[in-house]
Amino acid sequence: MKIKDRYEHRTYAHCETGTVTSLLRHHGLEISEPMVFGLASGMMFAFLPFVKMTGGMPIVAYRSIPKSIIGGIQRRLGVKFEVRKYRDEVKAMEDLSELVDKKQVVGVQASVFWLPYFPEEMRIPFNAHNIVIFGKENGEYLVSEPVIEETTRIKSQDLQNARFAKGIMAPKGFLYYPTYIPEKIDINSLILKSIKRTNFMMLGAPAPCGVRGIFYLANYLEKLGGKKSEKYIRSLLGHITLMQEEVGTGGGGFRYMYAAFLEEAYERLEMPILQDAYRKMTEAGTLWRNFALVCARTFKRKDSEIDLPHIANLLRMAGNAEKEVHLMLRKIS
Amino acid sequence: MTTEEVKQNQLVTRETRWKTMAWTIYEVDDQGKYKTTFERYDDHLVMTVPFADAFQEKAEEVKQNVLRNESSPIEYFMYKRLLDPKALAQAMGMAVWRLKRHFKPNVFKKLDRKKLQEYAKIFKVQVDDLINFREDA
Repeated sequence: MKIKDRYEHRTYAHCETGTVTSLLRHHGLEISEPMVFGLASGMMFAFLPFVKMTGGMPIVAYRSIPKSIIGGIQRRLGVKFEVRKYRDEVKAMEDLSELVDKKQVVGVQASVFWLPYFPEEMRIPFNAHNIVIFGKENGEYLVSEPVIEETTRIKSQDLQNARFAKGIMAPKGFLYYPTYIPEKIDINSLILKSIKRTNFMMLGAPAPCGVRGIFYLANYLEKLGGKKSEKYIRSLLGHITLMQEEVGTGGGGFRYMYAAFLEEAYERLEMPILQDAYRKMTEAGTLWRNFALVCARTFKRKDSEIDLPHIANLLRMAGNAEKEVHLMLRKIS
Repeated sequence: MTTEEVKQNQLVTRETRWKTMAWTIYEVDDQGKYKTTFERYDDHLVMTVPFADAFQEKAEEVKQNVLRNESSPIEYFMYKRLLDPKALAQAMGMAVWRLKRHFKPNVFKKLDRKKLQEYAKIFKVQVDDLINFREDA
């Protein structure tokens, strides 16, 4: 491992792939964010109407569950992360302080609710956010936050609160940093394996997940009219947009990021099928964005008509485009 | 400062805080290659703000109830800090029905200081702000 002297801050689209990428880059493995996302098979879709989030909204996820990127990248690349969880809050902070004093750059899971540098409107109780701690000055930790342009600082007490927030997906002081990176990593040979895995996850998963989940959501939306109040439908559509475009996804609910991965794969492997695939994936991403746009419009204009069949059709178009890509990619593996 | 000025001030500080945020978006350029760009507060359709505003509206409603002594400050601060009963109950580590009991003014008055301290920590206010209700704490 060739560890760099200075930590270099950059913004990333997504918190987990962002922190993992910046940790790997700091430890001498030049890799892009879409590559990490693709290799760890981060793309997924899930719509779980029976699990409610804050505000009574169902879970709509555009990627695999939190922490799967850290696990997936270890399995795929053969890199090793030291992963720690704590019960004792004081010990957790002491350990972090010790690591930071040794100039170790550490990824930390934190709750957005307790991070003071975010705008107040954003501080929702979401526990699976990831940040990088890369130093300590005057009792304050230096934070590299993937969605803020410059590095920020956080007080020790605030960080402790954020690391030990309670609730679903509680961080429990979760911290991680790479300890071993193989001398030679042949990324090219791993790409096809990862594509195959993503394919399997998207096409093979049962109804509320994968491609089937997209059509399930479409049907669900279509049948919603008359069953629920107008206010609920509008805020559900707003919630879907929020999950797809506003929490860091790289646009189009990770679809653009996956297309960027396919493009990089094409540049490395030069298989024509990958070129077609990444162009098609871009189209799918654009369709997703169209869908989100109509949802957002319905949410914002309270007096407009709710055209649920139209919205459901837009979603089906996005789903079909995505399904086509996965069916196409199935041939290579 | 008048109320209107305060509101205007809040709006300005809100915007400056949002300006530091940069949503990275993957986009195709003219040659069909992927690059990363940023979406800012100005051109990004911020959905988060209307969502937060919905909570603030709720908080305003509850505030009237608190002043009429029909509800407790806990309910007000819960909505003010973008929490709902489920999220707050999880953060406090107790059942939702127990939390909702604390919304009753009579029950709230009997809460001991330790419990109030726990609430105050989550709401980021002083205990006194809870006891003698101060809305903008």
